[in-house]
Amino acid sequence: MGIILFISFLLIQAAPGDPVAALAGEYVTQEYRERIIRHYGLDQSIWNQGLRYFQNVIQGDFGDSYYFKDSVSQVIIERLPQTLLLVIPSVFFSSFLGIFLGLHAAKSNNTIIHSGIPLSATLLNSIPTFWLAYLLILIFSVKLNWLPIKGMVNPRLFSTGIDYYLDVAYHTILPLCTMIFSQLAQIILLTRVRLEEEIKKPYFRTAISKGLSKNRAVTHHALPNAVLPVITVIGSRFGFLITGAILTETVFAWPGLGRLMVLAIEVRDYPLVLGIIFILSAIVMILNLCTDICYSVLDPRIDFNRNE
Amino acid sequence: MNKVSATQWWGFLLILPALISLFFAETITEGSFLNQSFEAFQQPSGLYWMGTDDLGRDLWTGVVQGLHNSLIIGLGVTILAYSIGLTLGMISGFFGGILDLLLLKLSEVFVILPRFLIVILSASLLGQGVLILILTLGFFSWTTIYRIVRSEVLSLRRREYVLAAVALGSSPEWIGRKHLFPAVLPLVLSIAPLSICHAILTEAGISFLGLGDSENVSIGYLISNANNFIFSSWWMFFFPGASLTLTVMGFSLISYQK
Repeated sequence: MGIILFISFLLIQAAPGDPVAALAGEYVTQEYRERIIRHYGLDQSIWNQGLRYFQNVIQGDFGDSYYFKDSVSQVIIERLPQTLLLVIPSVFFSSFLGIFLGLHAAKSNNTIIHSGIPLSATLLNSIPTFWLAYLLILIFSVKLNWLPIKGMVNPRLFSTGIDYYLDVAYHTILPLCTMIFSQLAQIILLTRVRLEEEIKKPYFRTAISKGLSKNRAVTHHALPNAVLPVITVIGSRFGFLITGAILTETVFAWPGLGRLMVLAIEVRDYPLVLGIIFILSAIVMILNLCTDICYSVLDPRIDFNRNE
Repeated sequence: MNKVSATQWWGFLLILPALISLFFAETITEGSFLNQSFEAFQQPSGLYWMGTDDLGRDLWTGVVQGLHNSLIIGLGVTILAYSIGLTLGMISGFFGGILDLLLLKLSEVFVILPRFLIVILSASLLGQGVLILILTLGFFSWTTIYRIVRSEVLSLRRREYVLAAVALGSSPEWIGRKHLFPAVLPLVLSIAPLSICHAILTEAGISFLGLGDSENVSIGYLISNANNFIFSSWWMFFFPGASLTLTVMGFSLISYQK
């Protein structure tokens, strides 16, 4: 059931590509007219172009980038690892840290922790990602001079081997922190709210009355139930993750897909823009599928094969 | 409605400056932000409350007008998303059947589309204007409201007062307007501030990338403009971001769950 849903998503998801491809074609003719029209087949009807683009995309060919004079897939593949380097660790760190902090906020009797964590999470949630990135730069790079401001490697070092990886790791700290912070708040708030709902339920009272400490009852009885919806929400927020990645990469001049996309828009390189949007959407959907699978493994009550 | 909690009062207090800028932006600032002067990079002072930027533009004016525009976009997107979500939700829940199934699948598709990418795409293809931004964002933000309304209407449909209205021969439109709408509105209204938050932050992100409306000031533009002067002029970067953060914080406190 879940997989069928996923495939239908994928098909409809791919569909916006063709009218958009047509639009992009229209726009370019205004700029490049004579030289480009014949070369990219823009003299054909809009429907033909869309159909052809669609056919090519299914075969994994996104066309050629106007700006880089290389195939779109090649350009994207070069940038993809850098984006994943930020995205994947940030999901893990923010999930674990968020659930941990949410758990503490829910079970603590100390007023400062109990309402302080959610309130600071709300504040964190209100800060625009790019402003947060600048704040971090201002504190850790400009004032304290601990961490590099921009880029992914130090261009003056020409380091190789282990030194190269250390250099990349050093440059990754600030962008990664920005990405983690931008997701953290939601997870903290949600974990706390879910936990407090679970605490009100009868089974929790049973656990307490049979002599468990509140601490143990929360971690072992309420948490497993509360975490499930949190995982769904983490899954449904991958779209926001992309937003965070684009903004973070722009601030830190990080050579990833988000930065590439902004550049592609600036130079009106539509095949590239479409290719990136397609790839990013595909990543979002694959991650969603992963969450669904995760969910069914964690919650034995869910069975995708059984129709109700 | 419940009593207004202390957190919510703080929320109202925080959005007060933004509300003032929404209604009195013209009164409390002089001229347009785009008016340049020779007094560039002035520190905050009695004359320039928030300093001036690289082109000698008054940042106080910029922040006030930027908040004004942010709020218009936030409210516009929310109103549009609520209209679509409420209408489709009521249709879907009331009629059920194949129509319900289609709308439900459609909402699932809309949920999964990365909204920010769509807005970037529309800004770069259709043009960079406030109206286009509001339309695109609103058109892609209705799913949450749709789902809440649909599930509520599904249960409301079996209530006796709705059944009585059906039996009396009221048209679906009349039932929707007179019986369903007042029942579902309070449910979804409590999350309206969060919808405003999302819209404001998305708009800031878009204009930070340089895809905002070039005719109107935006907080995102002010921050991206401060980018090059982050070492020398802290005020150019600090005030726009702080004012936006506090406003968004205010809206989230209003719908804060205790």
